[in-house]
Amino acid sequence: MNEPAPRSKIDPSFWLSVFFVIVIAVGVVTAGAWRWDTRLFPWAVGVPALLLALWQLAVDARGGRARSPAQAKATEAAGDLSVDSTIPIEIVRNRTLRAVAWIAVFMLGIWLAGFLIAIPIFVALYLYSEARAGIAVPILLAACTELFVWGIFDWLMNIAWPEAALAAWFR
Amino acid sequence: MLEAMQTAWAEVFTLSRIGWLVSGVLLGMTIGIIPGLSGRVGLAILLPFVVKMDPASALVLIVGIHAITNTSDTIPAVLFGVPGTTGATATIMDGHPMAKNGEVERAFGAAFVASAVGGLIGAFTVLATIPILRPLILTFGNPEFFMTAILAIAMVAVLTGGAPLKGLIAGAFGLLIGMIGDAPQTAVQRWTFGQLYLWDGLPLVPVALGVFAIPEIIDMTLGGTKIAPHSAPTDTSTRWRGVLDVAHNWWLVLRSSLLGTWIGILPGMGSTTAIWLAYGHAVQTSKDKDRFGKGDVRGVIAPEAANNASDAGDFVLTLAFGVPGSTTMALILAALLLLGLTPGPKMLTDHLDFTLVIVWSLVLANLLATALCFTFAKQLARITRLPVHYLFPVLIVVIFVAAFQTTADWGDLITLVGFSLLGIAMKRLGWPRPPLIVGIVLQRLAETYFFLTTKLYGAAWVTRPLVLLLFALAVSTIAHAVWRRYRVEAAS
Repeated sequence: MNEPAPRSKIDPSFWLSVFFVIVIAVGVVTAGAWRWDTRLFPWAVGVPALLLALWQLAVDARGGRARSPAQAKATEAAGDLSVDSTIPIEIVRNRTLRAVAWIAVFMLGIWLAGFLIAIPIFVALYLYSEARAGIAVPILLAACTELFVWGIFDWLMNIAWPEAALAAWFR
Repeated sequence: MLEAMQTAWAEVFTLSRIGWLVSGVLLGMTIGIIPGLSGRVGLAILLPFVVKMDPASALVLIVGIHAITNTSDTIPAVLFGVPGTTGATATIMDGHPMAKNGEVERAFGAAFVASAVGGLIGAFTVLATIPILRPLILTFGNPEFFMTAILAIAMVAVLTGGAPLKGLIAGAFGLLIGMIGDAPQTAVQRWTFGQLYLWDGLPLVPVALGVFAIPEIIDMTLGGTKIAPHSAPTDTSTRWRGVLDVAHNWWLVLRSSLLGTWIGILPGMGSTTAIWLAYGHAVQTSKDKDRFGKGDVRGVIAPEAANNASDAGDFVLTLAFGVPGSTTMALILAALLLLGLTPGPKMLTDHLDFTLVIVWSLVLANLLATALCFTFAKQLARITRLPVHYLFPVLIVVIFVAAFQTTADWGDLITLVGFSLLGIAMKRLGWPRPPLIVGIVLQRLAETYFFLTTKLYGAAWVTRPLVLLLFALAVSTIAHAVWRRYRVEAAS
């Protein structure tokens, strides 16, 4: 006979369920202001989706049972790719936050200096500080990346890059 | 017909036309490798030039570019988990884990050969069914199109049944996200919040790159070493093992290719629907589902075969009915008109030679692209042994630029970052991401056919035999997943 698995604290996916419930609920409520044929499909999808999301919220709030190995195996299969479970959770969290921070820095760089200036600076800075690649490799890789982006997207495709905030301020 | 086929073969197999085909294939391969770009970009660039060419050469070049992006888009999907085009999103599911497991050459071998076989099956199926194509397509009315979209979402939402409730919510959420922008029937703006950027809806490229690519690239850095840190050195035999995998799974290849061809023929469905339906079908019909999502070669073979096969179907729909099934096909339609060829039933009678030139070009382009990709698979595989910190900034740059080129608006970057955060949260917390993308892709199609169905058929549409069959398939798919989950819960 299987012993019942111990109950864990609130399931971390609770907060994502909260997000889905709020967004879908706002969508359903705001759709009420539209004419019938405009809101028909949003309601046909949104109302059942809201009920399912509330159900999931209740499941997560109950703090589900700790998973047995068989259960974990079955629930992970093929729904999506999973994170490498051999890496400690603290490292996963820290490195994820670090990567997100670098992406935020790049976004800020694009806004301030524009794509074609931010790209080599971002590549070189990242390689210098994270990969500890010395001076030559960051400069070389930054130049290659810049050349690739300029060649394909600027020269060939004539992308209209957004104006840099710094350029607008100093104009 | 045989005489026309011989004439068309002679048209294609000249030195200059083969030269154009090789040029198209090389350009298409390059475009497919760069995330966010698709055959559409290549065609848009070349459109002004093909007008001055003779029709047969222009067709060969166009087919060379378009058909091959679906083969080379596998490369970034397998190496980095970054889809070269949205048609490669399903390949990530098992292709990227194979790369992490040190089986990148095997994944490439299987993917490239499955792509070629799928493309060939698609082309020859289309060739064989040309006389009966019109009545075959007309068996599908608006209600059947609507139910096919629902079936596709249901299949992807529950896949192996790991988290069916979360999958259904993600699929429905994708449908709701897809509704942002002008309502197709009434032109009323839905959830646009006064933003001009949202009027046409959220573009798929930044959304797909955000949901799939950024979370996978961040995960690459978690180990801090290489993409395949524990892999044994690879040798050429693993490429051939991928080829053997395709031969071993020939029945799956055939089914996926036919499914892809059929989905390609149906207007608006597109390759994204085909690949996910094929992936879902591979999972559902396998007895050992547990390997899917962790590096099962069948998860690479099925979508790759369906992807290239759907192209052949899409081509025929455009040629025979003048109905482009995708934006790329709309560009090809424009090119045909500029070349003085009017798509429609006459392409199957008066201009059959040009139609067959396209079919032969598809065949040759698929073979050529596979040979090229297969040859360079070993060199490409070496990328998995580079330090991830060297790859991270370059990939982030390419993804940001690829997302921005969609509409060249700040909204693209905000969409990319927003959906990246959602993708990271979903992956970390065990919410499946594929249903979200499939929901967004199929929303417009589902809503349009839902609207037409209810207007034209009233309530009677639910009694149509094909609708009932598709509905039963969708319900049984969900019920099976729920039942499987219930059994696991009960056993623990």
